[in-house]
Amino acid sequence: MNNQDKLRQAFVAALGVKPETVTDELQYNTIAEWDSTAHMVLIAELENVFDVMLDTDDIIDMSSVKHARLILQKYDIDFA
Amino acid sequence: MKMAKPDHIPFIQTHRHSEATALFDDEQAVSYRALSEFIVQRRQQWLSYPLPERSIVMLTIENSITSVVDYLTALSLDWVMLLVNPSCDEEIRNQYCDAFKPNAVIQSGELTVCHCQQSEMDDDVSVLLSTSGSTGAGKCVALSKRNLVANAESILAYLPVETTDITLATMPLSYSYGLSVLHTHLIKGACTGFTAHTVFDKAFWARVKSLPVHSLAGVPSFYEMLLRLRFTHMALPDLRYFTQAGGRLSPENVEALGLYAKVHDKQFFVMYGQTEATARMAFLAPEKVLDKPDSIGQAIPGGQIELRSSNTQSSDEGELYYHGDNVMLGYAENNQQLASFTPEAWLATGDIARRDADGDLFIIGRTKRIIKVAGERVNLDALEQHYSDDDLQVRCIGKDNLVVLITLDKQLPALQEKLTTQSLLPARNVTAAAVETWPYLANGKPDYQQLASLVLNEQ
Repeated sequence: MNNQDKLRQAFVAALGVKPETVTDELQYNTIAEWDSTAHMVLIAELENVFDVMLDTDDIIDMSSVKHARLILQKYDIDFA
Repeated sequence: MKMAKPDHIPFIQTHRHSEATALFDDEQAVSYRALSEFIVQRRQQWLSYPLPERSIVMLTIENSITSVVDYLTALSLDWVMLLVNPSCDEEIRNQYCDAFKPNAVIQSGELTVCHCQQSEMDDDVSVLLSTSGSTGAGKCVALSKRNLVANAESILAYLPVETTDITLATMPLSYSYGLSVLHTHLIKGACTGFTAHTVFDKAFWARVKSLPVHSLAGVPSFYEMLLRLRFTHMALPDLRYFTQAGGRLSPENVEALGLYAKVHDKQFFVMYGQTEATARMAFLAPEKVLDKPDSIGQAIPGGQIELRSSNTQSSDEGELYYHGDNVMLGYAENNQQLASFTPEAWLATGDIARRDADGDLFIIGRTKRIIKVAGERVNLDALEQHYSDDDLQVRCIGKDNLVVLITLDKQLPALQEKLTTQSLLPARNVTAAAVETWPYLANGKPDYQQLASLVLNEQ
């Protein structure tokens, strides 16, 4: 599984949504499944899957699928 | 006992002319003097309606300056208030209106008259707080002004609230814990702030640092979020103490927060309470947090705790009973029940506790089948009834944040179907399971313990 697939799978697992829901445009607090509690689960899932420890600011900034990818790139996760 | 003194404002009477900031939100701040003036004006305005002396009103209390003015105005008029959370839906509001027949409904400073008849009112009843979340009908806890003030004073006897303190309210004021934070700060002449930002917004933490905020208060889910946000890595030099109540926070999380407090010279208060006791009943001395992260400590100043057990002589284990001036008048489900209350001297909390040699208390179980899901009380028996019908028998077990609905194997698809169409709780907090046959106790009652071990082991 490449990192893009891992990212999608992490969202699917943490938010309990269908894979096709996980698009770049999907944003925090715009669907019922991605509320603050689910956000915590998501952060744990991403940290686990990519073996990183995110900073407070990065956790807060992770407001969309696109942002999640951009932030993870800062932690040397390659989505090329 | 008539409390209504003309022009008396509860909590802030002694410092009502102070220029110190009482309240602020994301846009503005008001001093105690300005707050008092708002209250006097609003009182004049509301007195122009032909409402009875002891009106009952339904107040939608937001976390806003306007709502605090509404609340203190109604208190100073000696009205009886049913406090409603702004997120409460129309149907529940209508149920409350039918049950309590309010003289007026109030929201954001606007009073709408419903009727002008005086209902028979107990002399002491002042505030009605809901005990149920989205799953229950509206049984309310009835509190007196004496309850409110006594509990706030007890809390001030152990929490280091200072006159110059600023706190940020992160809990709704319709919730007893949130209300107690407001009360203690008002009495002390300290400052309470409201913000639309959540802990997931940068602006929240910017406010915490720049104001600066001296204390935080929250329920377990709040601290779980803070830990996830690396709260323990944040430099917050002005934060002196933080408090947790409203359910059990895991000992690991208590330890993490206790260690943070110790290393950064702050105090972490783990506390215990119920709306039935206005808010607070016990707290753990902050220096014991790392040694006893699963303890709720001892009774608050002015309160007494007894552990009562039917089958042993021991007073060191049993149901936790609390006695103090903050014990509620009683429950009320409708207008007629407000006519008079016969308060119990000792509150039976429904929690089973044990006491160690130092006198510190540990909650070890519950007598009532009530758990908390996402901070709201859920009655497992009520859930069973909701999901069961003539063709489908459902039993329910649970621990905090997890409800398991159980049926017999062949009925599992029917239960799952019902769960998707009639869900009362967030899907992540509910799961369905099935057993081959129902386990029973010798007395013929369902054996919930065995049921729990059957279904929880499988997961």
